[in-house]
Amino acid sequence: MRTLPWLKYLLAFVITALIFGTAIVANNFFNAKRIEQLRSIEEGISIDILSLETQFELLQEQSCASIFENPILSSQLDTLANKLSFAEARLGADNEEVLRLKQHYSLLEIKDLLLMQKVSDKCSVEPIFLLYFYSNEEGTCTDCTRQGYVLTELAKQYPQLRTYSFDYNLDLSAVKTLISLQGVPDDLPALVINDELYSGFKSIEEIQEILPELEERATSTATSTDEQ
Amino acid sequence: MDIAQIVMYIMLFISLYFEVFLLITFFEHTDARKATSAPIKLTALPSVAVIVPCFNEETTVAGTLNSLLALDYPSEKLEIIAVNDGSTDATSKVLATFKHHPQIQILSKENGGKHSAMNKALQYTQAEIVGCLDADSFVESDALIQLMQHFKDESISAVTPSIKIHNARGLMQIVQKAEYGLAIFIRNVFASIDSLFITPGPFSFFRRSVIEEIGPWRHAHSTEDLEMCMRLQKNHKKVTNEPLAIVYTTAPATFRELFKQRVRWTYGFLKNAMDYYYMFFNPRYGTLGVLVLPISIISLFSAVFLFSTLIWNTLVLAAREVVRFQTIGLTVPSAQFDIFFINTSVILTVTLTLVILTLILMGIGKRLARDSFLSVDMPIYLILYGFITPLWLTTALYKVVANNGVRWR
Repeated sequence: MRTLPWLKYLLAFVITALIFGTAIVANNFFNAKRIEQLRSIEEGISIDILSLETQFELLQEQSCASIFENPILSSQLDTLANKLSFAEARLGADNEEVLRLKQHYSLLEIKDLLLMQKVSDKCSVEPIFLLYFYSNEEGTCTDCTRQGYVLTELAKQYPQLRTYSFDYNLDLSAVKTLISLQGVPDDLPALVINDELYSGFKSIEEIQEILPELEERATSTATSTDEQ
Repeated sequence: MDIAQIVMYIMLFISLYFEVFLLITFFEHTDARKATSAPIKLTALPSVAVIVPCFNEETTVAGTLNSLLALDYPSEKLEIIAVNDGSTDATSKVLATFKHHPQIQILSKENGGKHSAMNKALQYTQAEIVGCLDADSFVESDALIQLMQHFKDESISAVTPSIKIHNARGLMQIVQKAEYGLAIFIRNVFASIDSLFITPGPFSFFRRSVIEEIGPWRHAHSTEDLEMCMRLQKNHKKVTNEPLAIVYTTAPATFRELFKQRVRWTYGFLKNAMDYYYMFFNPRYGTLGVLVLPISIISLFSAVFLFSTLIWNTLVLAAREVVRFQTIGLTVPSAQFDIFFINTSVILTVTLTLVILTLILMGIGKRLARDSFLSVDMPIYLILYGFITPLWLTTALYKVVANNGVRWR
């Protein structure tokens, strides 16, 4: 009969548990930091929208150019969307913090959309809006991944295109109202392009066909940049 | 958390636990190692017989015998017995060129496997210590004397050496070079806790009286070296290791050869584990029984599981990229870096810790056998081995389940 070094077994167990514990604590710490950063971005965007709204109320038409062509807000919303999507993948779509941040993000999108619609009316500018309704629930939207690729690529090619993405199943009354106002069916993905509803997957070419002004604006922006 | 994730956590915990345990054990026995590396006295050396079983070894056997003749050991105490195990090539002709050498005895028999060659040679010697050297291996001149110092201790029944790859060339051999470095570390640590369960074919030595007591070599599913060690442990015989006794072996040069060899080893391990099942989780056999043997089996399954997970994740990723390409064509990925997107998951952090720890263990193994701590083969091993090991593990598992045997050669 050989003696067993129980103390050594225990020591190895404690060290292993410590390594595991450190990895868990570190992961939780970084996730909390991520949530904190997301919250701070959302706060920033919220202030920016409020500020633009106020600016528009104060200056009306005089502020058209500065508000309508504000690329910072649009890119901030894109960055937030990317980070939120990463956090959702890491922490899970059911995570309460993620859900709250997503609700807030959707509200900011709707606020931005409404502001831009108001601005476009007053400033007589034809904006290019694209509303995208998707679902993350398994089996409910097989083409949403592909549609996501298309919209990401379009946003890269045409920075002037304002894309607003909404989770169809998000438990938020504002989103539900938007869905009902636009008459979005549960056959996803669904796109609302300049107030027109399109159900099912749309390729880059199809969207370009629907929005020929995308190409025109891209060309005119390029020309004006060249002239400068 | 789904079941696959829970299994993944358990596997990672066990792997990490075992590596931590090995490292603690290694540092715990630092003093003992220093004591055995003291200068060797050449007095009272035992008589030794080195058996060289040969089956179609015409290209390597001469080198093997010459390296044995060059051993730094009193010639009157060293005999070499080459056994031609029914070779069909020119092995017998090569052996004939050594027949007049006073230290070499040449025996010939019908092909019966390595164990039968060992047992035949055993009948032709009265040496106190007997050992084996595969006919594709070579030894350093001080290897034997390094090993024999351990037999001064009457409680030692067998001693194992450090095995290195002879002239490593090509990807497969370079990868094995790193693996053998890790094996040197593991063998040394296992020896310090009486947990060795393989006395490798190249240059392991046994007290003759012990072999007579526990019985000769057996076929043992073509892994007689593993079975002999298991039998020694079963009989509570002490097996130790000498890291400074260096043996060079010719490693498989192609994947096909390596695959065949490893299927045989894994199959042999599993079958012998079944034969000696009562040693598993049995505290009568110390750490070997309660930890080393069970974890060795678990590690086979965890390697297969981790590999399947890796393959599955890679396929999912590849499928996603194919869909992306089909949808939007070839695009340039965004080059923006943001610390936010760094993966800090527990699985990744623990896996990285495991990788770093494995590199450290491997480096220590290399240092034990007088090599440099870091070498280029180590990262190649880490990248490649995870992908290829499960292939032979799965095949061996299948062969065990289907009860298909494997051949020695």
